[in-house]
Amino acid sequence: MVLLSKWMTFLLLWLVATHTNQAAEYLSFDQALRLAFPHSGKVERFKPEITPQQQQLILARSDAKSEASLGGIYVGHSNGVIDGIAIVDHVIGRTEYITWLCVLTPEGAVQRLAVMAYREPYGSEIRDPRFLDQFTNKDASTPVRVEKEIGNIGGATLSVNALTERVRFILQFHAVVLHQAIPTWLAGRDSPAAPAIPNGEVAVLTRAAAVGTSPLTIRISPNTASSAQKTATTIDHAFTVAQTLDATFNAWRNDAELAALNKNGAAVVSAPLFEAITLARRGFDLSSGRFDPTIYLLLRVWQQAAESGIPPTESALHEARSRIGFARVDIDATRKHITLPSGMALDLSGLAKGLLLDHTGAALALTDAQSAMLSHGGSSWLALGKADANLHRITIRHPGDSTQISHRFVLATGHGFGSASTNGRTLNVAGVLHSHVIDPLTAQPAPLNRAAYVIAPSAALADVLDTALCLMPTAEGLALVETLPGVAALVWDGQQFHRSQRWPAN
Amino acid sequence: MSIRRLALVPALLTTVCLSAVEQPDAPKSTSPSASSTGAQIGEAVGSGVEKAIKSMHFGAYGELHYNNFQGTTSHNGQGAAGTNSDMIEMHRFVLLMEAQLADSIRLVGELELEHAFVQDGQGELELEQAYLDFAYLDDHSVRAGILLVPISIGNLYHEPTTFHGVERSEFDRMVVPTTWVEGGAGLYGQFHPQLGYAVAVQAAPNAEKYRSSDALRAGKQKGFKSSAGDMMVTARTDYKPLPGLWLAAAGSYMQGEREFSTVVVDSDAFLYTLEARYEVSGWDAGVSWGQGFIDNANSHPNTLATPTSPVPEVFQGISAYLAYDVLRLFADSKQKVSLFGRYENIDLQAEIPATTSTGAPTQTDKKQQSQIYQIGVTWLITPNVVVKADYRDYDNDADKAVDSWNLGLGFAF
Repeated sequence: MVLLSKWMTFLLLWLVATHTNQAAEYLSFDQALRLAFPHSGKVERFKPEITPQQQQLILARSDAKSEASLGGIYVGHSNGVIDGIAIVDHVIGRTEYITWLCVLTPEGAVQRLAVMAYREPYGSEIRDPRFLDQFTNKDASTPVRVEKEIGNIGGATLSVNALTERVRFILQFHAVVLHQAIPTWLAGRDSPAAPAIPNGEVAVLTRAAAVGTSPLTIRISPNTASSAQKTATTIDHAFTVAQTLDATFNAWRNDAELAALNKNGAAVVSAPLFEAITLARRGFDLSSGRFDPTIYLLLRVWQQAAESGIPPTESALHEARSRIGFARVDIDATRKHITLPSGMALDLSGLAKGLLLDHTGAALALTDAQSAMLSHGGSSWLALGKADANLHRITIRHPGDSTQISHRFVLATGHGFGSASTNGRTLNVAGVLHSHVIDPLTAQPAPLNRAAYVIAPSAALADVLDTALCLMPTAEGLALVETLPGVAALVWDGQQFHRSQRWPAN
Repeated sequence: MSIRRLALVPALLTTVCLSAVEQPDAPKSTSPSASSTGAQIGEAVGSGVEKAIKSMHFGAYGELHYNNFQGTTSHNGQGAAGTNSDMIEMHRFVLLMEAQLADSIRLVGELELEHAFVQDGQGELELEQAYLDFAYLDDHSVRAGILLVPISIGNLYHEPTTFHGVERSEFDRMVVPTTWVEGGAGLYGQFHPQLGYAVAVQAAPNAEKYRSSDALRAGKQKGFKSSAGDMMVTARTDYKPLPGLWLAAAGSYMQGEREFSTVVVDSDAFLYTLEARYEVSGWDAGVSWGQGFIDNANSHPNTLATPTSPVPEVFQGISAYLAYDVLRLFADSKQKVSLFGRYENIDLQAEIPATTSTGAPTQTDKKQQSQIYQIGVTWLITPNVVVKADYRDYDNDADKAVDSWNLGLGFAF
């Protein structure tokens, strides 16, 4: 016993003399940021302005008591696209602060949590990945409650409760503040491209670049060191394909093939453009003429009305209507020859994003183990490769309140998803706001506050149908959807949601 | 420089672009007024003290009990002082204080007032914990002072919000004499987030006081001028392989060699506990098994004094409960209203000496076997405040036990 006490005394003295750090530090700040953003062009701290109303809303929705502000919000971005959001935060477990990291996807779902430093004598088991992984994919629409969605750790209950409450706070903070504030902040900021090949292993490789006026994002998972070079090469190739297609369909580019067709009124067109026009024709037929890429002349009447402040006359609308109509376009399938009636122009932007994704996706060479998710302009999506519940998750914000998530689901691989709304852009005609989506059958703007979401076997078809469903009467649109194999749709009529039978459960 | 910091050096060297990113804000003090006071004091007496004062945290837990006994003869070792009547009392009120004395050194103190006041041997004012914790590596520390014996889960985690039932389980009163604290030192830590350990060397209980009715309990020294002639080594491991699942094993070996002018005691003892807890989807289940062995029970002075009530060679007990939060069926609430049932079988004389020098106990002298059936409700209003009610059907071989229904109010923060 005497020997033991002497030894103990020596040990204690040695510890006191040599020791410098009490908190168990598992991740330094720099390590945390590297974990959150393994492959971003730039990482910056973002300090949002928060109104008292937003703060109250966040607290009420997250059922959180603590009003403490978040330690630091970090945004990783490349080429103007958000790669992810990381929050380094401090939360009191029992009496001491736990410093921890919460990484969110750009859509606001938890990607991962990590405990950076723990200071209590008991309860450090909360850094167990099996506990923290329970939060993965939770977002503002999903309940996050101890002993319901989140299994407790005996002996660490206070830390578990504190961390869980703080995750809820962060998810609502994203929904109410960050999801709008970060894109606004990022617009116009210096946002360099990510390095072609990440340093070390990256679970999800993200590359983004502007194609036309919208960012095209390609995410591929997983990426091992051995596949990194091959993945980088195939992504480069896919972006080249995307740029070529944009130069084909984009009616707003003077050098585009479509612009030449509109200018000359007739041409033998390339295979991709012919495919786009054929698909547009199918959309026109399916929607009984409501999806109409020849709408431009009619839209122009409304745009002029907005510019002049004088509502359009019945005769002007009637005259414009008589000059449009996709049925009047002559399509010669054998020669791929298109003839437009005099003065008519085609605008394929109602399906260009989706079709571009389908072609870009086809150009991607994935390994059997890889999954890919492509998106263009935040309104068109395509899931490819191996099914991946994380990568292929789609989050739909409530069209009536963007601070809430109304639906979420996993897009089946090989399927496209498209969303459209009638109030994305508006026309102010003498103080009255109108949708920029014009119904070719009535020559009137579509009702504001309609939105449609479509899952289809191709991104192009989803893109065609989301526009068509915004214009079609809800019941008629959903009845059409039921007749199309592999298609599901959700329509918001300004008051409530209507879903087709195959729409996936949340 | 610590080992961990050395390990960070290569990581820091590779970090060029990220170090330019602005650091997060430091956490704000939870009690600004207290810290400003601390600063004033600190300026006068030195920055080390200032830091320690600023770092001080207080907590507390307590439980108010009402016990209504369904009989008048005995109260299972509990019951209102000096009478056989029902009882209401502030069973425990504990003040917790923690302070960071240096970067690596933390002081933890818990001062407990048991049974509301102290007078004439009634009630207890005790240091429930008072130790310095020296963290020598991440997740590993040395503690020295008055420490909880790292034996059963119920000894380490005994706040009223952590267990079902107004009173602690009989397992945690008789098989493991909670709250069991002794002076000593130990190593504590985590090998892995799922695997924790503790090894402590503490003063052993006073072996002279081991007895038939509550095994080791009367021997607890509670750090009060504890005899350090006999030492106790406790080793423990906690394994939490899944969220909600907790497996724990612990064992204590106690020396028990005492020489007094009148009696000689040579009763080393060994107690081990094996426990499992599982919480999932509103269910909460737990089972605790413990078994103790006492050497030379046949020559223990208490055996010699009353051979018909001998100190056991083996004592043991099992306690199992199942609880379900019924509130979740009706409402989405952070509150919990758990209905629970518990069964306990405690045998403090599982094996008794066959012969002693003053007489031979017979098997009919084994009268310390108890069975307890308990049902009740645990209402967690918040994770920090609990209201409890239960009924305990208590039978024992001595036929002295009485049933009771109990109400309790507890808090911990």
